[in-house]
Amino acid sequence: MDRMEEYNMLLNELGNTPRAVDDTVVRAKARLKSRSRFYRFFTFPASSLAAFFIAFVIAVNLSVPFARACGRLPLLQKLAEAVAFSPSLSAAVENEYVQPVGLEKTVNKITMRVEYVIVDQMQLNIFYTLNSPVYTNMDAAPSISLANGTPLNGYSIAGGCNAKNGGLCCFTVDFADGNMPEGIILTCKVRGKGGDYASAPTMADTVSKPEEYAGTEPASVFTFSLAFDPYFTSKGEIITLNKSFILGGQRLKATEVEIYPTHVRLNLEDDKGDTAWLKSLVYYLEDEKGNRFERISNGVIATGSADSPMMNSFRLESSFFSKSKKLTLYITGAVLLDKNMERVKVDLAHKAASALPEGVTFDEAVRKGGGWDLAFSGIYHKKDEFYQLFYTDYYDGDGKKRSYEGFSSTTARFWDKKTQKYVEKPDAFQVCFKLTDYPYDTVYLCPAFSRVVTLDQPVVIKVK
Amino acid sequence: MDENEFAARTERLKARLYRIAFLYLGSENMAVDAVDEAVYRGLKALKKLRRPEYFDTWMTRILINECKKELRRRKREQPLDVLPETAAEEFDPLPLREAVRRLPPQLREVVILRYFAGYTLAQAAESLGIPQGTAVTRQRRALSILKLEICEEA
Repeated sequence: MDRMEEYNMLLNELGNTPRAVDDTVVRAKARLKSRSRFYRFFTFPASSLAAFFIAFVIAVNLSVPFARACGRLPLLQKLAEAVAFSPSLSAAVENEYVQPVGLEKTVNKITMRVEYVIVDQMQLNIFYTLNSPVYTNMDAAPSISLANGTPLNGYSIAGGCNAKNGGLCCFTVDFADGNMPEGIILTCKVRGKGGDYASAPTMADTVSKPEEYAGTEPASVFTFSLAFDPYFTSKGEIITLNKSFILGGQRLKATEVEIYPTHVRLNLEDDKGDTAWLKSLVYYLEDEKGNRFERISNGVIATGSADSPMMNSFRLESSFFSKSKKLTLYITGAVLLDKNMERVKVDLAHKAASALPEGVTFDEAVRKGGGWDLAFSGIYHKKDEFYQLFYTDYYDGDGKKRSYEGFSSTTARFWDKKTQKYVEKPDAFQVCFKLTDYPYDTVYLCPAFSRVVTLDQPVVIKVK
Repeated sequence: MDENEFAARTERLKARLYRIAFLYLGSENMAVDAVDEAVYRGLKALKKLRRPEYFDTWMTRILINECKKELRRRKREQPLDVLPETAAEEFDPLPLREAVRRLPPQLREVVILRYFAGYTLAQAAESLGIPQGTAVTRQRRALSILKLEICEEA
């Protein structure tokens, strides 16, 4: 048999497609349906992450009803202080929407106590303390599973704290989809600064960076079984909107508003014909009493589905306890990523780009150690608020995907050749990152946005 | 493109996808798994497909990526000797299927797409993200190593 006969035989053999291939589309659809709700991604406001890591002690007595609530429930005083940064959680405490837990365990000279939860259909806030005679500061890494041990998907956990021994800390578990289970197993791996008793720091020490917590092995591992009162986990209201509007030339539809005690979700859909992806939204709700519910101050602020670059669900502070009879949604702006700018070609050798996001300038491209050091600057949209200019994935000329490890943001300053001095630009910030092991002169970067839209007249949608 | 159109176009394409995966991976089960994974990933990423006319080459790229991923994984577990282009005589005693699998990756992928999946030169080049001239050079080299004399299309 010669090679051509062999070739024809192989072609015949390959012509017999196995029956298992017949249902490949059906299987893909079923898989997508079952997994789509689990694979969401989350964005957090930098300020809220910071908020979790900074101990908050705010004068709760500024609010009369708040103080009254604390007076009725003296045990909630510490909790009221801990949630003072969050209007939604403060309202929950004020309305005694708190489930006491009171579980405590001691492992390896660290005591963890779960004091309270604030829970609804979609969000769980776990308040806990850590105490130790040998560690001044402890770092807890949480994970959760169902009560029967089954791993949970489709949630994010933010939190931790830098409180001294006994300070009240919080984890926030946010479910993108699916209802709150009846109970969970909380597992916490706790590391102490110093890592072992011999090198335990003095009480005067403070910890500001996670890497200061020594060792990879936790000092203690805790598990708590938490059961939620159905009174709390059933709370929530979904209002269907289905109102279309145009924003930045894009046709969007506000599909529904979900109102929970801990937050409000505004869900949107885009149109197939849209030329840009919605990345962020400027919005608020207002009730008939003039109460405004702004973008949420803690935890997740927006989510998107895994199969689209669009962010399609946005969070607001909760109106749940305001007993609002009427609610109106105001959309005043947006951040968009034009679809033709998902990748932009950047000529590194000549410091030029085919396109850049609005307000962004290409400051520097320096060949260094087999790669490039890049610097871009952007303008502040809010005072001193940095934002991401480019996603970390980038592509070479052959379309091969690479990633840079991280970027730094600093106040922008530029070298003035005439004066031979640095010039500070107070209205701008600079983002620097490295393309390591990148010998080429051209790179394709992926902007995080392309333009910012500010509406003269807000989009107004009646919610109820 | 909506899900129904995706399903219809994938139905027409699936036999080709299977042939490609089979030649890459050399096993029916693994080929079916790779096609399943590629179809799932294609469906999930459907909104990113800006030009439906490139659906076939887009799906093929996804499949090739899945096959390469599997090959990388297997390489770690049980390395397969890929023969260098210069070792033409070592290809002679190998059955054609095995010889194709032992081709250097860049030659193998062109040959699979062109002569086993029935892609045109332009489609093969598009699927692999290479210029047509490069595809021509690679396919000539591959055919020469495999001792296959297949008439070129116009």
